[in-house]
Formats: sequence, structure tokens, C-alpha cells
Amino acid sequence: MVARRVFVGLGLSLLGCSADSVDEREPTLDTIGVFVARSAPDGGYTLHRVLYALRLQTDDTSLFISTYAVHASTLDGARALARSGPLPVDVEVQVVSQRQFGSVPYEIVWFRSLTPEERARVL
Amino acid sequence: MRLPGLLLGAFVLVAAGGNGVARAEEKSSLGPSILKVPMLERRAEQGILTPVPLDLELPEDLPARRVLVHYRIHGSKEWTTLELLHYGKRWVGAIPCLEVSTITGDVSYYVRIHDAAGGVIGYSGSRHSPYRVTIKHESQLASSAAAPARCPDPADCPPGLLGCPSATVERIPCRSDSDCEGGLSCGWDGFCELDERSHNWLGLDLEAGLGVVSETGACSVPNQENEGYACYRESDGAIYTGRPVYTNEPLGVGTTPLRIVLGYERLISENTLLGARFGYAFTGAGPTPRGGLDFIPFSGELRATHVFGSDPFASSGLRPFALVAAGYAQHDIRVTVHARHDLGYAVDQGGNDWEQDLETWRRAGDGYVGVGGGLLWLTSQGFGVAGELRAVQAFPYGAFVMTCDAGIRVGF
Repeated sequence: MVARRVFVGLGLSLLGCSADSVDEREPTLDTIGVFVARSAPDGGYTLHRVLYALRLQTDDTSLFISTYAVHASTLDGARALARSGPLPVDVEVQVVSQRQFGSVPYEIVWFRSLTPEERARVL
Repeated sequence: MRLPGLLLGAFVLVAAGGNGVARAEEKSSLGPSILKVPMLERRAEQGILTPVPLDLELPEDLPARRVLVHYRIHGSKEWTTLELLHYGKRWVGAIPCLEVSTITGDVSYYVRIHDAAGGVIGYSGSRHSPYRVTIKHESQLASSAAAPARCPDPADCPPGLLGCPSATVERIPCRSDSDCEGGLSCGWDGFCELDERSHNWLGLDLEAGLGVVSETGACSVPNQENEGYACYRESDGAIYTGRPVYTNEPLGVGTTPLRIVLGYERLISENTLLGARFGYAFTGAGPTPRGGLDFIPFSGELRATHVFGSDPFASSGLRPFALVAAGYAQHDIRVTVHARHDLGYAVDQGGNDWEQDLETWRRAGDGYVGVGGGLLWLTSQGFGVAGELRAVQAFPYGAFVMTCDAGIRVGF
């Protein structure tokens, strides 16, 4: 019994040695704070930001998003806009179904953690 | 027991208990024992062109290694040193005939006895009160003292052999400055010398540096709280309290504060300086996070320096040197750390980008050890210009720092 405990302890300490290699999680549509570039009907991309994600029992998620009053012609342009700092807001908060929101081609172009002011829009 | 003089004018010292000659136990200000000879026996006379024989017997308990005779011919200002030859219990020699030559007047001399370490352990006579042998023409001497005046050919009787003139001593052994005379001091090699070196050196330097620090996980909250890091967002200058992903970032290189350094070093041997330096960092200190300890601009260091070359402080010129040092200093090192936000945490400091550069300061120190080297350009024996490069390891808040110093040295 003692030997087994020692073995388990050694195993845990060895696992601890690999702490440097942390799995990097990629942002998804329900990651709070992501910027999403979504294909616009007339070409180019609109820019949105997920402020909150509420998981529902219906296997869907309600996304609280802001829509910015900007238009990017390319994904790189949308990413540059997202990284640039404060953007003019078109729709402050809008609740949409993730399934519906994701039905249009989109790409997550950036992430920034929400400031207390941004968080206050939905709480 | 008393030994007879070899010739007229010979000087004889005998052991304690001898006839009229005694060894005193008193200590002089120099420390050595004193061999006394009554003043009446301090004078003799002899003819020209004859050597002055010297014959000395010392107490057996006196640990004599060398016996030196210092003499001066009449009219000369310089003292010349001879070494007596050890022959059984006696120490014998002679002031060379050619030195006596035909110069009439007093030949002055005194004797100093050195131990194995070079220290003077006994003496008889002194520069101020020497023995005197008056050199006269043969016509002025008593007939019994008259001797054929003719110097032997030096080839027949080379200096240093028994019965021949004594060998001249170029370097007088010593153990301390008190063993030396005539403005000489005891050199580090155990011989009296005219020391014109500057033994004390003041230095004024400007010091800059580059520090190398680890950037992996540098801006995590634990590292900022415990390892001397402080990270600030470039976007708004706020201190970073986010959660970075641990990635294998390369080592960061940044500048350290500029310091002005005042130093004192003492020459303790021909090539070695020991000293202390004090510095003040006048620019380059990083910000102190709220609740942290303020940057201490003062620094202190003890160092030992080896200057290469033969007697490097005896003359001007370019001198390479190596040094070891240890001391106290805070090294604020500024680097830019790339932080990638860990998306696994829902609650976090607001406004952190997915990836961002952080202005990061590492306050390394407060102790350090270092090695280095440089060049000292002595423009004279009392002034020089120095430049040095040092590799420094700071601890316990570790960083590797390369410092570069340039400044002046003033010796006195």
C-alpha cells in the first residue's frame, strides 16, 4: 500500500514537471470577448463582439453581441480594426442564437477580455 | 673570546661576554637587537691602497642569514653595501682596496644583520653614528701600521671569495620598511627599493549595462509578486494582471540603470589592488508597482583586481587587468515580453488582447558576484584612464548582467 502511494506521488510530481507546456485553447464563438468578422450580404465583413454566452437546455447558446459601425473588405482588415482599439458601436447589445449567428460564414479575428464597462452592458 | 683584526683598522665584534663588547638585549625603535661597541673602538686608521678588512663574530643564538656592511668613502654621498662571507662562526670580508684607493679621509661604515626573512635583527653603527677608518698616507702612519701600498689585481682575487674584497650587494633584503634606509621602503619582493608607485587609487566611473532575463511566464501574477517582475500594458500603461499562457519565450535583453561610481583601491602587492566602490544610479530605474519596495539607487562593491605585467604601477603605459567583485546593487532591466492570453479563464483583467507586448521590468539583485577585465592606461604614475567589462550574476532575484565601465584613476 505504501509502495503504491509512493508510486502515485512520483507520477503526480512527474506530471507537475510538464507544467510549462500548457494547452492553448483556441477561441470559439461562445468565448466571451471575441471579435467576429461575419460575411456581409453586399460583400465584405461586418464586425461583432461576443459580450456574453448563455447556454440553453436546447443545445443552443444565446449570444449577447455588440455590432460595430465598421465595415471591412477583408478578414485582415477586420482583424486590424478589432486590434485597433475603441470602435464606434452600431448596436450595443443584441441577443442572437449561436446556431443562427453561425449560419453565416464567419471567422474569429481577435480576442480582448471585457472591461468592466463592457461587461456592464449585459449584466 | 675576541678575534684579532686582520689588518690595522679591522673591526671586530664578539659575542656577549666578550672583552668590552656586549650584546644588549634592549629593543630599538626598529625592533632589532643592538650590538654595542664602545665609541672609543669605533675609530681606526690605515694607509691608502689597502682594503679595510672586516671580521665579525655573532652570538650563536642570533639567527643571522646575511650580514651586510654599508660603507661610504670620504667625499662620497652614496652608501655602498657589501655582503660578508660566512666562515664558520665568523663573518668576514673587506671594503675593496680599489674603493679605498688613494683618497685620504674617513671611510664610514656600519653593519646590519638580517635574518632569513630579510628583517634586520641586529646592527652595529648606523648612518648617523658609523664606524670610521681614517685613511692616511703611509708617511703619516705609525711604522708598525705601515704596509706596502698596492691594490691586488681584481682578477687574482675576485669579490666574494674568502680573503678577497666583499661582493657588492645591489639589493638589500628587508622584511618591513623599517629595515630600509635612505628613503627606501621594503618592496614586495623582500628587497629595499625606491618606491615611487602610487599605492592608493581613487576612481570615478560611469557604468552602463545590459541584463539578460527569462521571459517565460515573466508576467504571470505569481512571478510579478515573487520574482521581481513588473509588467505594464503598452496600450494603456496599466499593470498587467492577466493570465498569460506559458510559452517558451526567448531570453530578453535590456538595459540597466546608468550609475556613477566612486571607488578606492589600495595596491597591496606589485600587481594586486583591493578596493571598494560606491555607486549611485541616476537614471534607468523602473517603476515600482503599488505595494512594492522602491528602487534603491545606491550600490556598494568589494573587489580584487590583478593588473598584468611586471611591476605595472612603476611606470606609465597600457595595462590589462582582471577582477573579481561582489556587492550590493539593484539592476532594473527593461525588456518587452510577448504575452498570449490564456482563454481558459472566464474572469480576467479587462482589456487584455489575445496577444500583446508588455513593457516588463525585472528588478534583479540585490546581491551580485562578478568577474571581468579591462584596460588601464596609466598616463603617469598617478593618473590613468580605465575601461572594463564585467559579467555579473545577480541574486536572489536572478539576472545575468554585462556591465561596462569607463572612468579615471587618480593615484596618491
